[in-house]
Amino acid sequence: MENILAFFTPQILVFIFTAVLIIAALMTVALIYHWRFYAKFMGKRIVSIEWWFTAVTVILLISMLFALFGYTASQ
Amino acid sequence: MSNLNFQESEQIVFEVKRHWFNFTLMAVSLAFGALAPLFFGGIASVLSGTSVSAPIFFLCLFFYLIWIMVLWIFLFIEWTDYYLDMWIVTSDRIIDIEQRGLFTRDIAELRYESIEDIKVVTSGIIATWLGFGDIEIQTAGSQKEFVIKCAKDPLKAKDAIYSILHSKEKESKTVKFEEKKEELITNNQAYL
Repeated sequence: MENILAFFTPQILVFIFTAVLIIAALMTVALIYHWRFYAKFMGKRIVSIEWWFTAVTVILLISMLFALFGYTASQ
Repeated sequence: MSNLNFQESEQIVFEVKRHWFNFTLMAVSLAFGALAPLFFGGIASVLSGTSVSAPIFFLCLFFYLIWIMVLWIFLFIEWTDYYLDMWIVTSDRIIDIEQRGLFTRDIAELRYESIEDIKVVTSGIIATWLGFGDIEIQTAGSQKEFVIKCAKDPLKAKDAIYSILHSKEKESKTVKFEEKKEELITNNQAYL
């Protein structure tokens, strides 16, 4: 356990968090693009599906940030 | 509109979409995947009989949230694939939109004149019970094969496409007949 805690320094976790943030942002943009395409050619929107995806992604990212703060504070 | 342009007279008759069954099955397995770490973590905690320290708890929470994020993104990719894979049946043609992953979309169209045969494949008890199956359109020539997997109400879609096809054929026969009649009348007048 001590080894694990020694390996996962807050800096490493911040690095992982940044990578996840970038991937999530790219995915969000790609999905919004697809849903907008659908809305354009079908002339109708699906009850803001892209915003549901974005909202849950943002909640997850904020929770990860809290977990990161908790980890840093408890060390 | 990026890839599709409808003619002014062209009307969307209906859409053929994939059935929800496969997507639901996948969503349920992802839900199990999301709950599995909690389950196994709980068991490990009970078996070891020791309480988890705060840094370990936050570290596990951090990685668990990453895992949830991965599953969430995967679910949405699958949802996009499921929802945007479709055929748009219009009065003039059939447009096949196939989503391949997240960044590739394949759009092909088929005119009614080149349809040779429509095949519906329903295999298995669940597919028969829930009413979904594959629809394959065989075309004349070496065009791209038109297939939609796990389509909702495939027989209904097939019948609807056939009825459009027959009305088109009837229409073209009437036009040809009128043209022939016109030609005969003109020829007769010239002869007289």
